[in-house]
Amino acid sequence: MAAEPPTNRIPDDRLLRLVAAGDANAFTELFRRRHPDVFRFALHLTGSAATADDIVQDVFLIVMRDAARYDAGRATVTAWLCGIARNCARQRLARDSRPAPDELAGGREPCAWGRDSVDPLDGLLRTERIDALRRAIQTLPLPYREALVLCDLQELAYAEAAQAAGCPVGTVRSRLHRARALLAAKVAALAFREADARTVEPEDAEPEPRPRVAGTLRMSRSGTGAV
Amino acid sequence: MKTPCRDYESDLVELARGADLDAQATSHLGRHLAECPTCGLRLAQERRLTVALRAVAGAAEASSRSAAIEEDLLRAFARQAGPHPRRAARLFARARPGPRRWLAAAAAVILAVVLGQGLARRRAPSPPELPAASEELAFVTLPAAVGLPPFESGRIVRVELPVAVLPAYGLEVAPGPPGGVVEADVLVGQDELPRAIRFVNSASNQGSTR
Repeated sequence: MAAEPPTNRIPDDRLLRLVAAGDANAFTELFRRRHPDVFRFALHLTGSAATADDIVQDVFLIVMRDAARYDAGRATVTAWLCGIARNCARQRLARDSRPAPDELAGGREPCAWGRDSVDPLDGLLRTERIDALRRAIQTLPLPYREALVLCDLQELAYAEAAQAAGCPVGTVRSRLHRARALLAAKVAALAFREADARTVEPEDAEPEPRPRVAGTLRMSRSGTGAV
Repeated sequence: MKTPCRDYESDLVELARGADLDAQATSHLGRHLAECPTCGLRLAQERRLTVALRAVAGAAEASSRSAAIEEDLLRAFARQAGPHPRRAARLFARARPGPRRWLAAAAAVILAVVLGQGLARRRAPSPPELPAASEELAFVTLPAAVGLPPFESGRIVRVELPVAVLPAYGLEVAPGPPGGVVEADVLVGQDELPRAIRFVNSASNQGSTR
């Protein structure tokens, strides 16, 4: 019988079988190899590094318990892990349910593609724009966000993304396209709002004088006479 | 009749994402883009969105707690893979047809006792190893089988034990990685109670993983 190769050369699915048999070295190798993917997936989905860390821990605890249930014929290991992470993230998001931090809320979202005069994606590679785009991703409805994160951020193939999301390939594709359209609209809204803000409050403009009404009211209430 | 722009939308997005379209789709889309400036603009914007999303993906920070998480997980793994009666019971129950949980749990406890006492004694004081010969060890009577009704009939059930649990019972596998499993036969009597155990020696049991 040939000697077992070092764990860093063992394919993921074999590592999982070894984990199922109680091999701690295989578990360590699988964790080190795959936890960055799981972390980034959870981070993009939830927008919180702390939550993503918790999800990583949840995922690998489940791997520890259910490694024997992995079926290589049904999903790649990466897709299987992302599927577990997706379920963990959904549970946490439902538990901590609160309105999504929609920094673009308010006002009707303009169509991203119909305005030739402003390209909302100009300058998107600036750091603050990347942060804005990241926040915008988190405001997408969860099914669309999942498709976008799996396909465009994790760069999984449609088949793998479908395995992770538990839906047909066609559904993933249509969700992704919808997600991109929504995201473009949100980015456009941000660009228009910023443009509007620059028009109303140019950076070099003099600050407006404070309304005296407020001081008057305060004087009449406190009775101190100071403004 | 001109094909409406929406019919090209899906291919346009896929093209912007860098997907490989088939030759026919590429040709149709190319002809449409040549005569439709709106879709040309849309393609350029989709491409910029793709670049921006890749920048978001690339800018994602790594976990700052991964080392601590790994440590916690390995502790949990050791607890799970260790000489825990429930773990052993699960292993035992999985190998038995028509499992009865109470019996499996009892057998696991007995197994732990015999591994800790009988087998460790066989290999002390030097660091014990599994035998190298390609033969099966003799059955060792389980201490808990003493006092049971006389053995009349029974069956042998093969079980797999993680190598990782063996040192806890005074048995080590050398050389080779600590992972993997070893096989053992358990003799189950007519009353479904385990009477004896023997290790099955095979190539896969000699310190290698399965």
